[in-house]
Amino acid sequence: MNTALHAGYARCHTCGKLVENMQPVGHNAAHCPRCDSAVHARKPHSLGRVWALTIAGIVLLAPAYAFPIMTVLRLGRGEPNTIFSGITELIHEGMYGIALLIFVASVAVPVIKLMGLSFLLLSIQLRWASSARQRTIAYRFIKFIGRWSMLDIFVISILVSLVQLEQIAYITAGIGTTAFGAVVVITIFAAECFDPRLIWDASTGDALAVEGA
Amino acid sequence: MRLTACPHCDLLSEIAALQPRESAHCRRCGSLLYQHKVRSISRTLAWAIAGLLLFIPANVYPILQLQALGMEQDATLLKGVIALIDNRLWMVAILTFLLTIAIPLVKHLLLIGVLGRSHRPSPRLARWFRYYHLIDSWGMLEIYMLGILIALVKLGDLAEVVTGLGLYSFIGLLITSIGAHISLDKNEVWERLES
Ligand SMILES: [Zn+2]
Ligand SMILES: [Zn+2]
Repeated sequence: MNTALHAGYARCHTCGKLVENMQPVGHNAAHCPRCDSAVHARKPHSLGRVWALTIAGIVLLAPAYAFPIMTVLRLGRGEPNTIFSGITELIHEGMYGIALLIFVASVAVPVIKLMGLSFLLLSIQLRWASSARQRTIAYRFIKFIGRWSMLDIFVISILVSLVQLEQIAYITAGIGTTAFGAVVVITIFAAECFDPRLIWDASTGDALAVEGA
Repeated sequence: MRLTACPHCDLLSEIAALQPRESAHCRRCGSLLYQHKVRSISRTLAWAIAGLLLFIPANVYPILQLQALGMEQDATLLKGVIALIDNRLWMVAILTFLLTIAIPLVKHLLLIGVLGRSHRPSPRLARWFRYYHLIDSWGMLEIYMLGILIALVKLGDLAEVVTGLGLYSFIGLLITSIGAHISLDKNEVWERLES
């Protein structure tokens, strides 16, 4: 199969222009004549950056799930809720649909995203030859779902601004939202830094491209 | 015929000129390479201008209003950010402000600026369109919309919630930004800016 890298081209990450790029992988490349972005045959230091961001994301999941994100005070009484206890409370109140949405956005999506990126990184580093097409589709899926994790933070910001009825009902936001927001931002950056072309380089035995990254 | 490389697997492909509404996919990994969109620039510009006009009422008027025992509270996008600051959650407040107000607004302005002058290409327009690409995926209006719906249902048992003019403007803003996203042919814009 004839890749741009082997033909001496590089695709601009920003505008998609095919640029002649004779520099070896990993070196500082030329600037795109169309949009002036730096052009690299592969995203620079992709494997290392994505590992660093993924591990940071996994570490930050602990405070994101352990600290309270929201406290609902009804007639002056109420306990702080974490993401998990909030979902349990929604189930007790019979709001199954919302419980499911919050579970998907706040638990399933970040966990699947971090596990998926780790799996893709390992598959490249172990030079897997098979299922490159399926892994590329998995990457596109991971990139697509990541942003939806912001859902709970937006819900909290609306509730906190709306429910300020002094003694009757009062909602405050907790420190867990900071950790969770950091997880979302970090995982979005991780997906951006990941270069799916490395999946194909590794599966076709293109060691040069993988090691340069 | 033009030569292009797949963004996801790097395979080189030669693509023939596309017919209207036709698209080309990578034969190795299936990624979308090109999509021909009809009258992309004028349609996207119309969506973006409509969106910019709706941006004002969507931010000024209350999105939801809560009424209980004679007390009243209303929520706007900015009030949600301020409430987070009141809770001393600075980082979350800044993040929410960027994702729901600043970035969608800047995206509209950049798009109108670039498309409105695309008949006179300049390095400045190319720089603006590059900025647009940079922030493109950080606008999160559609996620905020789902957040509004969830807040609406959650509050249903607590008090009476009234939807306001702000909500209808916000729905309009969401529709126009989806319209602009679907009709925008980035490659066509870049080719214009290059000539
Ligand atoms: Zn470029
Ligand atoms: Zn491909």
